[in-house]
Amino acid sequence: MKTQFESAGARVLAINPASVKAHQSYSAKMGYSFPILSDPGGRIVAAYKCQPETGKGVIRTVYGLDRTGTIIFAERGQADLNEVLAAIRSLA
Amino acid sequence: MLTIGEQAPDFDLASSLGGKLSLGDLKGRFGVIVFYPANDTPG
Repeated sequence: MKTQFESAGARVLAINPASVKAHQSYSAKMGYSFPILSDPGGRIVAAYKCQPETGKGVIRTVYGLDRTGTIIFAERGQADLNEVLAAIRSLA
Repeated sequence: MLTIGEQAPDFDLASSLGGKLSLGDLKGRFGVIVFYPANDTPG
């Protein structure tokens, strides 16, 4: 899937409050080659409106961005990545 | 949740691949950003 995004000219990244070290061992375990960014204070999670009302944790969310950083796809939960890809390809 | 048409908020965070990555690093390319709860619940 990552390769399909790359061939559509997209970069994939994930964001989560865990430490860089935790992200590195998780990526190694899962065989992920895309970057996982560490947001320890949850500030970016909150800016992207992915924080539950309790203020703790993350609501699983997938965003697609166009070349100018404008949101072109937004979905809660396990988004269908083919839909994200279609949104990108429709604008690419 | 942010809605379609909004500008994505800026970020500048440490990356699992080393160094930092910001929204500015994505500019000029499409981006997919996945927020997920914890490392035992892959997304």
